[in-house]
Amino acid sequence: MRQMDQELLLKDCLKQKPEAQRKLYDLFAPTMLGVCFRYTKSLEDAEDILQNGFVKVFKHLKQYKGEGELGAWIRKIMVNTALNYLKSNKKYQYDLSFDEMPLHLVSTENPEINLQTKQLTELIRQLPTGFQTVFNMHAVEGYSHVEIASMLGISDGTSRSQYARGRALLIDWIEKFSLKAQDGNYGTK
Amino acid sequence: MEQNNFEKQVQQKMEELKIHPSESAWNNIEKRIGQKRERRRWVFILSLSIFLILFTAFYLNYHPGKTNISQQKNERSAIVENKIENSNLPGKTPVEFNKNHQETENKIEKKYVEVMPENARAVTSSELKNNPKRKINDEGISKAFSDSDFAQKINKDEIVNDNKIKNVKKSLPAGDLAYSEIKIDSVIENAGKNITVASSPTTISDENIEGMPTIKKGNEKDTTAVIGFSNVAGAKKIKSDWKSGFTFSSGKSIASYDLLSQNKSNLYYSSPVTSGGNPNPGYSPSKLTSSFAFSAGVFFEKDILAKSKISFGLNYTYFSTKNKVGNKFDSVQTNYNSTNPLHDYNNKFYFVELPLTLKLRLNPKKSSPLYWNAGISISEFISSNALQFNSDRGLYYNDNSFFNKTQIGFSTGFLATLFSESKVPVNIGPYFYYGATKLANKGLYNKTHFSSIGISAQILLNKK
Repeated sequence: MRQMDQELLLKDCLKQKPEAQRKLYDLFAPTMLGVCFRYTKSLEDAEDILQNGFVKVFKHLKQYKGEGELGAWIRKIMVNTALNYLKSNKKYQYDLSFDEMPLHLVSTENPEINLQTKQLTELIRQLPTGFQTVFNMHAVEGYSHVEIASMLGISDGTSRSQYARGRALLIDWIEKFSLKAQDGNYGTK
Repeated sequence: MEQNNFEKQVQQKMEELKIHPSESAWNNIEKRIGQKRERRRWVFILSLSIFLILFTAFYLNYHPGKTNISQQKNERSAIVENKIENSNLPGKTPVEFNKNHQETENKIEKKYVEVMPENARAVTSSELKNNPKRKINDEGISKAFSDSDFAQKINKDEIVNDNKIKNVKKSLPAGDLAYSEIKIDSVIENAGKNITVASSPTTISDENIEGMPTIKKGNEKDTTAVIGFSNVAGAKKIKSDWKSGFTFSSGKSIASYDLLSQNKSNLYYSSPVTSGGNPNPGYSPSKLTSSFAFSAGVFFEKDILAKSKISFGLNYTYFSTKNKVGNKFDSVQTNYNSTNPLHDYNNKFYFVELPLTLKLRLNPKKSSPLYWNAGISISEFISSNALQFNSDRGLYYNDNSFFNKTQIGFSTGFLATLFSESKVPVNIGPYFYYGATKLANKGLYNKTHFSSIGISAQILLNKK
């Protein structure tokens, strides 16, 4: 989308025009649902987060001053909304109660990922919620451990530990999944 | 570096992840942001209504128009003339009387200047002759007006000055006294031309003065006799009882989309309707048109200011819309088909309404007043035979669960009073009502609002 078109769209959204709001939603909703989906265990939860996130986007759109990509701004809102959702939703609360663990790297491997996006996403979503959350925030969103610690209310050591363990577990699963796929047990569609 | 390679791969893969949300996700978002819009619109409508009502009330009651001044002038002149007639001036010819008046005028003016401080009194006629440019001691008056304890000061001044002027009056003969009011009155009028209220806060009311009819104080019923600050048009509160009456209105009603909305699409779908790529065409309902509206009830009203009344009541309200339907084919349920629409169907809606209205008199004539009224009302849905529409089957059916049970609406109109001198005066005039609440959130009446326009009448009872 051209910069001028986006500015016009934003202006119309600020004027509360329903058509513009729908257009903005259509433009970003698929990517953002992908973001939300990575943080949850079900598509319904992801859609709930998406809805809450977009309501916030439209409510606070005037706070977007054009600094940086609009998509990045919306993504930040989605991630924050997802974290709040996980904290407030009972079924995620237990997994999010991070225990202080000593920092040790379980794996330093860097395998080639020969999986399709959906397969990798599914594996990430199979991680325990704590690992899943920290992994998404650090590996995909690019937050530092200090930032993650601040956002989740944990120490940065715990964040590093959770990440390392989650990463190791994921690599293990990726390797196993790739091997099975080669054996023909799992075909990649 | 190698570790970052893994993260990069993950990032790239995740950037590609796009999932199309269900349509219900947007519907929920739209509903939630729509509610916010709706709330904002409510706040706007309420604020605007309150502002308009308060502004109009303030303007009509506190703005001293020319009519009020001249009306007071006439009323005061009438009293003075009446006093002169009643004051028995034995043995004085008109010439002598005029001479006496001139002398008295000079005396009163002299006394007036003596008793009133310069910065708090109006310019006298002799001062005006000597210095025509000086119309009034503006600075002193302005100062008095800008003072926050204005009312208190005036009351104190009024007592002090009253006593002083009483002493002046006592020293004067009855004829002079009668004329003293003329002088004071004229001073007040001079002041009134410039600042709209008199600067001489003097009330002539002394039962000890012989031969003079008593003029009542300002807070009593004879309001025209009060001279001075307390005689500002309409500023004083009126003591009055609640009056009751019946109200009727009839006109046309229509269910339409929000008046403030820019999206004024029609109430009926375009035909044929297809959904989700389904090749089967859907059905479209016939257009809703306006129909009869009626309201009847009781009301109670009370004067709150000289020109304002407040009223509340209880009404039974009927709105209706019309559409074309086909044959009724189900004897158990009210089902009509939409093909070959043969006859009109009246969708009737019944409500109980609690209106709260502010009435403002627009003209000075008490004998034939013209009122502007504006109000807010809460209505409770009672019943309806309104039809909903199933576009898949092309059927009309009843389902009142779609309707919002509580409605808030705004009304405005004008009322002219007929037979005001009779025991049963009638107010009659045009009205407009707008239902601010959506009639329904789904179905054929989704996001529509009722509005009606017509003639309303009020019959006031218990007038003595």
